Amino acid sequence: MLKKRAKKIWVSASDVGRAAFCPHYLELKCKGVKASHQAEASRAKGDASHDQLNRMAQDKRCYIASHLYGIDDSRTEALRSFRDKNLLNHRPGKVLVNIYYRLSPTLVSISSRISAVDQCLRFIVNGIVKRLLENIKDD
Amino acid sequence: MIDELLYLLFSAAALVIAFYSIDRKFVKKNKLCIEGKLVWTDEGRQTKPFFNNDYGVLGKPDLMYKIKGGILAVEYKSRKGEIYESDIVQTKCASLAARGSGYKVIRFLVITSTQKQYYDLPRSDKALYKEIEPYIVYTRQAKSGSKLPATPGRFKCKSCAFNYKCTYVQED
Repeated sequence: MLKKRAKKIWVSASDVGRAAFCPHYLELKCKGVKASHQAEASRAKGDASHDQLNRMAQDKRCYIASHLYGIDDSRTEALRSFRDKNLLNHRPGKVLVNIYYRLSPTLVSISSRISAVDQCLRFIVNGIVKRLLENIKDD
Repeated sequence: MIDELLYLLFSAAALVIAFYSIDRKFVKKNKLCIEGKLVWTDEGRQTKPFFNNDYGVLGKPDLMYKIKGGILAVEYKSRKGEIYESDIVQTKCASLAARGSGYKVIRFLVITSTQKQYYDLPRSDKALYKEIEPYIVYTRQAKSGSKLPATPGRFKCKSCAFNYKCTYVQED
């Protein structure tokens, strides 16, 4: 005898979220009840916000080391570790890190357009990384 | 002395103006401040959702970033105020769906206009499914036409899209 296979009911993440909000809400939705005008307006506003989010997310912003070597590179990690262990422990270091975070997106953006700036940045950061790695080796 | 001071002040002002001009021209800031590489974006209705065949769920987060050890899913809510349980459940379900399509989602981030919160996900799909199973069951029941309980609340009912039809609505 062939067993009749039960038809799989696919559920969407938004509906599962709605069930967590209020199961009766989901029941009404599935029964085809129309959403209020206010809710429709909110949805349209939400869609527009999502478009804005996408634009924001696709904007480039990474810091100098991530730009030069990549986010997970060992040299970037070394610089991060220097920041966390040596700079963020005292007030002047924190100020320096804040200034760096304020300036670096601009520098990254400029260096991705002007190769001379990129080379100059690479030269400076390579020097810093080299010294850092030497210090780590000595320790 | 005053001349030197004025010269210094003028130079500082010129530097600040120059920096802000360059800044505005070159930089489009990512206000999300997420460290990671953007690997997937929900472009709206034309973007197909992810399917997890094992658990029968589908969905899509708003964004996905490659982070150390896996993928970070991002769910954005345009409203102001706190993050609700329903936002967390929805993102967990979307993450489970994305896992079915090969994205190893290990964390997720829920953002509202005023709040931002990271959550870690269980390693196994089964454990993740278990966390949201009651809501998945409710959803299947609703799709089969069953009656479901209401969980009214003053603020919840105020924002509900079906409050004008609901008999359980809680008013002020």
